[in-house]
Amino acid sequence: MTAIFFEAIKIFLYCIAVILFISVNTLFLVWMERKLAGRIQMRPGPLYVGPMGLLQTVADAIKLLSKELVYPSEANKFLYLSAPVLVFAPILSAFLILPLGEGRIIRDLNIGFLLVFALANITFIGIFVAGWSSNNKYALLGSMRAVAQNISYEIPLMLSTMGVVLAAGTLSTTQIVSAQDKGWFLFTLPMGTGLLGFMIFFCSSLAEANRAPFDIPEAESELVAGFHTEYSGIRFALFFLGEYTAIFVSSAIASTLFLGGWHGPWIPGPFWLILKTYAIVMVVMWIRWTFPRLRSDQLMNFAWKVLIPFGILNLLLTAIFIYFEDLLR
Amino acid sequence: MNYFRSLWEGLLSLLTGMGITLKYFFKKPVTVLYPKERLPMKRFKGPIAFTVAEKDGDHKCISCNACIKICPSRCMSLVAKKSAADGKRVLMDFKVNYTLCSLCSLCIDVCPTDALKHDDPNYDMVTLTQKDMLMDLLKPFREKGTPLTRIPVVEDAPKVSP
Repeated sequence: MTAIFFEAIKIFLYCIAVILFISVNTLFLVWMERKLAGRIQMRPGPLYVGPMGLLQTVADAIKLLSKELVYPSEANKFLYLSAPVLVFAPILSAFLILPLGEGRIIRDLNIGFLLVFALANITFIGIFVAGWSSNNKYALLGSMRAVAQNISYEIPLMLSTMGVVLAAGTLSTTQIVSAQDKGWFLFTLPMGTGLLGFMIFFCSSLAEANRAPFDIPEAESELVAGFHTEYSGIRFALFFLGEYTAIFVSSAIASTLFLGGWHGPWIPGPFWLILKTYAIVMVVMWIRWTFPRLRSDQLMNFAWKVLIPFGILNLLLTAIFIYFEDLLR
Repeated sequence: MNYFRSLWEGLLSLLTGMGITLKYFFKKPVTVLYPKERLPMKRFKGPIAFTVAEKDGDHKCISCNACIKICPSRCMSLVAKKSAADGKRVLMDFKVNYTLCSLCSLCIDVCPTDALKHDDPNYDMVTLTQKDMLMDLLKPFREKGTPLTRIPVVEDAPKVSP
């Protein structure tokens, strides 16, 4: 009985820690994005609120929390209210399997990151529910695009991770990172398949996170704000939180699978993971402020004609190379 | 083959684009933080002001009324009195109602002594009331106490009723 009680308290504390982390992380990421965008466009970015504008996003968050919650007429109330939670909650599952170090993991599941990808797809149901229930044509168009895009890009995303799984022989994230103690899978996979896999994973995860240049679901110039057009205040903040957490999570998984997770010299493991993750997030932002948005058909062409063939090719090549390496050994 | 070439060229073009933004990332921001920093303005039509003579720091107005006659929006007015010493006209008061001024520069063109100009640096003139737009052009000269503002004048004789 006491064991169950302590387990419950542990889960509760983990939840609080994760939610605290993602809130602070999102505030920081938004600040970082605005600073980065500013510098790329030769502006200084936020300056006045707090040192170097660090508290600007806190001020924005307070403003969002104090805003009126608008409820569109003839919207489906139950779905409208549940959509932000449906979008935001599944992404939290990724923190279950992020290994910060040897044994420093909430649950070392043997299906590992597959579970995260499976659960993260609930997000798209949430996005569609959000678009449909707000009784707005822009929202509906945006959510339809989001679902089409995410279904297409799910395939190369999974295919690109399979090379790593073949090399490590497991889906568990701890064991995948442990298998990289001699070198990152980005470089140690035979014949550059790691690099190809990483590029495919990176492109698809950009699309999965609805991130520029694959941000047609919320294309500002065409669709106002896409699926969250009708949301305001804290509900909009939840979508925003979900978006930035999705970027962080996909970067963290990329650094776990390809960049050796917690492995690194001098400083402790968790810092290495965070460092690598933020480096990838920075590249994601860099890409957003460099490239224009893809057209809808270009987006689909890129997924089906480029990423999926290359994903399958990559998987086959990795399998063949690993098979022959084992034969030679 | 065309497919692979287009992919390769696309990849290269993406990298080129990212290189350009990286280059800009390390450049210094060009933003002027406006209320704190101001750029000097050139060829800007600010409000009407007196030019300052180089030799004695005074204005050059001879109270000829040419500007007031030509002003299409009738925004200027001046008061002049006779000098006690030589009987020349002495400027006592020169006001411009800037709310009416259309910045046509006719007064500047017509002035025989080039006494008027546009006040170039004054490009963020914002006031809360219209009263602040009634500008006294002589005010800076009075504050400095330039020679022309200190000439004794003949006071008007009190009017005698007929």
